[in-house]
Amino acid sequence: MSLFRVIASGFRSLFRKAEVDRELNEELGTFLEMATQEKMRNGMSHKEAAREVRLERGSLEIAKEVVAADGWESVIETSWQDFRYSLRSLVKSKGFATVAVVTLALAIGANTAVFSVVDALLLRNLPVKDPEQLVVFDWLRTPGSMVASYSGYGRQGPTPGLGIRTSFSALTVERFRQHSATLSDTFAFSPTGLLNIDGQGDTVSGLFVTGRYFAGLGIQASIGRILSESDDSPQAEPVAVISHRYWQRRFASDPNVIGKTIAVNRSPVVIVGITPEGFDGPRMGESSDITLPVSFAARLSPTGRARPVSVWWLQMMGRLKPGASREQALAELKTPFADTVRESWAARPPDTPNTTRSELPQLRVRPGAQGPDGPRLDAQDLLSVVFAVVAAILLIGCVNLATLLLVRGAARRQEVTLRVTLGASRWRVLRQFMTESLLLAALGGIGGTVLAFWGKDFMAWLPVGDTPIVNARIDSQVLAFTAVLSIITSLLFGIGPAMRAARSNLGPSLNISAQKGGITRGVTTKALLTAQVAMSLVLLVGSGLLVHTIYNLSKVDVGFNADNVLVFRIDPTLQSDSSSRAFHGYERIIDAIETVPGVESCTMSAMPLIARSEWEETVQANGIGVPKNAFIQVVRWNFLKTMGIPMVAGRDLEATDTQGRPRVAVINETMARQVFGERTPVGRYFQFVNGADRRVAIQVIGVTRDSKYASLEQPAPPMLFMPHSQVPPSGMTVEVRTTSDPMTVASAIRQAVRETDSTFSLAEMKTQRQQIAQTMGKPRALAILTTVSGMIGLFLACVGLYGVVSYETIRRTREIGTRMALGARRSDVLRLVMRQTVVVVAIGVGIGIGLALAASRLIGSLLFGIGPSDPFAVGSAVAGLIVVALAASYLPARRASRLDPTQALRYE
Amino acid sequence: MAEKPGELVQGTLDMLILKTLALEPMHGYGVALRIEQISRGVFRVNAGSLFVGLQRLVRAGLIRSEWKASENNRRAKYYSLTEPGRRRLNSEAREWGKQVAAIARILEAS
Repeated sequence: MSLFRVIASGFRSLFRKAEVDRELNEELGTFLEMATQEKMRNGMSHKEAAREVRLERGSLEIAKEVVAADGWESVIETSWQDFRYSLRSLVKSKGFATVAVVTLALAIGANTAVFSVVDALLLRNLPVKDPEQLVVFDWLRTPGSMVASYSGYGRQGPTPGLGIRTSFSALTVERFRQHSATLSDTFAFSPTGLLNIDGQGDTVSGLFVTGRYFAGLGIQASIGRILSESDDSPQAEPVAVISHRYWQRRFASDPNVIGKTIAVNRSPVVIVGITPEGFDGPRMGESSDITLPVSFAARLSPTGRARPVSVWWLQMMGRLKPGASREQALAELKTPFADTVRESWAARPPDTPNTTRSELPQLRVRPGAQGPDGPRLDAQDLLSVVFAVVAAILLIGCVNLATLLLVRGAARRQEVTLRVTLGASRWRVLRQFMTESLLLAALGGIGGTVLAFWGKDFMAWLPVGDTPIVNARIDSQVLAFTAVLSIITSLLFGIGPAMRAARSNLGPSLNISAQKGGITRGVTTKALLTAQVAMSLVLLVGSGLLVHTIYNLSKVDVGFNADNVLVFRIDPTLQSDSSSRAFHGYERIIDAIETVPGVESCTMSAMPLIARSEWEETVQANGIGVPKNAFIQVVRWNFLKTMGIPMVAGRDLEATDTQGRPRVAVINETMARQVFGERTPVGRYFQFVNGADRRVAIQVIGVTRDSKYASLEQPAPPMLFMPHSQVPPSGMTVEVRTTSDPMTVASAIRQAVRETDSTFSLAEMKTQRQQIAQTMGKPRALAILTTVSGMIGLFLACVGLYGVVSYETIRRTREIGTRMALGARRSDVLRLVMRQTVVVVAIGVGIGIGLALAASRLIGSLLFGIGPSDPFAVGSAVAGLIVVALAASYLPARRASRLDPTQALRYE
Repeated sequence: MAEKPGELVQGTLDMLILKTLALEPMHGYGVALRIEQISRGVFRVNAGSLFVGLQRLVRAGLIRSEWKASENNRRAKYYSLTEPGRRRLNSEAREWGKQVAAIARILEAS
């Protein structure tokens, strides 16, 4: 009841201020008049009476203020005053305001962008039906317990000696499905690894899933149908469901893709459905492009048979029935789990070394709303580096602003003193300063949000380098984070300077000018500057290491001549009825390209070189050796010559190695060594263990020098080159060697292809060098991130140094003048002013080196050809920082040393 | 030197205003004057505290205000007690009596 009146009356004062003021004025006027009349009745003059009343009753002006300040509405009103005052004071010092807002926008923007990725990856639930009903199974491996044959993920458990294992036997999946009364569904899946589609440079990864996978997750196909239990049987026709993302990327969202047959590692599969947009499988942070039944895994395995029950390779999830708890599920599933451990142990192959295992592993049922945590946690490592970098930027920004505000606060001391003298409370002064900080943080937060909209995509791409791992969104949750961050930021940089301003002493600063009386206690400022220098150094060292990594990668000998090569993908747009027709189409196109002026020669390969695309098969030397892996390249006969890969022994491929002639291949030195165990196995035979042409003898006709295959970091893998006339895949990468800059002939080549055969489509035209640069995505993105943030950090530190030194020299103008009048030389003054900078930088560098050495281990796995504590990288970062920092403080110091002593002494 | 008019005991102003208004509706100056007269000049009310107190009591719904002509035909804001105000006065007076008696007993005890 009265609360309502309090609020209503408060609003009346707020919005009808003039009326309320007038009433109060009139009331107080009456009061004054009545009191004066009373006195006059006792014989005083009007003037005397009025004076007497003021003495007795206090100033009516103050009474008015006191009454106005009593209600709650006055807090809003004074806040509004503070706000307008802050705005005015910021507009007045535009330079400071701009530096502050830009700093905050960068820092808050970077943090918001990273948070949006973290949010999508680590905080969000799977986009499936009722995710909180889902559970994930895993088990703890004690030192004395192990299942028969484990082939899955594992990570360090809660205590040493206990490992967490996440994969199960097909037997376990089946038992859980049959025996559980608490679970409405049980399903399992396993990553496929990299799969080759249609023999092209198109590599995807996906999942093998059991029949209830989609039903258990509650996912419907957006087009076509999902996989069902009947698809997961060895007799069923092989079918696949593809992701929305892959459908867009590979099939340009063509709805007719349903029913189309594709070759997965050379086995035909029919596409039956497309998953809804936004669903990338249960393993968050990893997008599964293709979903295949578990039964299909047998066709891809080297033996062609399903994995025995002794192999534990399936990750398992379940859906709890409404009302059932994880504890109930665990209680009822313990026994079936233990049974399958024993059974699979008994079913292990007879040649397994017989180690006695006594303990049973311990089953766990964990919340599954976010899916199993493998890939999420892997990305977390890198995200934590990125988060550390952006947090460092935010800290540097805050420290820098705090320094600037301290200096500014010292300059505003007179103003504060005046306000306190006129009756402002310390609390009011504190509030005024904090309003200013909040205003800055709010402006920075708005700027940061704008930046984050742009930056989130960059961040989402960062961990993997070529595909975004998540759909990062700027939504209400992320905006709330930004708002809270802005407020915390304003507290971080604003509270110290505000407290200091509110604490300032009245006496000295009012009558003595700020320059002399406003002594900043330099220790805080210097500590803040030291922290900035240290953090900037950490970022600069990281940047140095990563830039060096990029340099090392660019200097890697790829084993072929990557200069002046234009590459592009070429696909037959029509399903060619015969492979020989496609083959002749390719030949005509190559002939046409070779007539283009500026083209030296033209060739093709199934896989683009150094594009992180792999095609791996299992081969057997002479059909009897141990099966070994080799990487496949299907090429036109002139490929090795065109790319400049030299032969070591035997002969090169020739145009006459065609269909109908004996199957031949050229292998590299590593394959010769690993598969045949000799340097030049020319004339020997090998065969594929699976696929359509398995058990066909292929003769080695030559050996080439090693060259890089899919990436720069890996050493040259075992490779074999087969003529595409004998193994025609459907799409190829064309490599054109040119006499000068390849891009100058690009349009002529496009035209030549179009004129020759319009049934082929060209895509992704670029130079081989550009292609290589794309694979350096991750270190390059991090190198850019640390370099940019290191530069920002360094810049901010220099602004801080410059500001503080300038301020100090102005403050000490008289002192410097006196010294010079007494005979100090310019160099003495210079030394005097620079001394503190040198101390700050020295301590900052010392701390920074320690921090940098600790932090660089975090990025150790990304480095190539350089150690995380490389003395050159650390040394050059230190040297660069010292030079720039000293230069920043040298400028104001030099100005001080050029002072005219007579003017300096008269200064004020 | 004559005894200086004292400050009010903390927190008692509201009660005194209510008591004053219980007799008859009155304007601000009248309230101040009456408190001084009845206390025989022991208390002197500062204008600032008085009007803050009046505003607070109005907002709490214990008194209400209206503009009326004063005895010498000036427009003045008159305050009068509301029913909740009367109840509050009674309870505060009782409470005050108890406390004063208790304090007096403590002071006389030794």
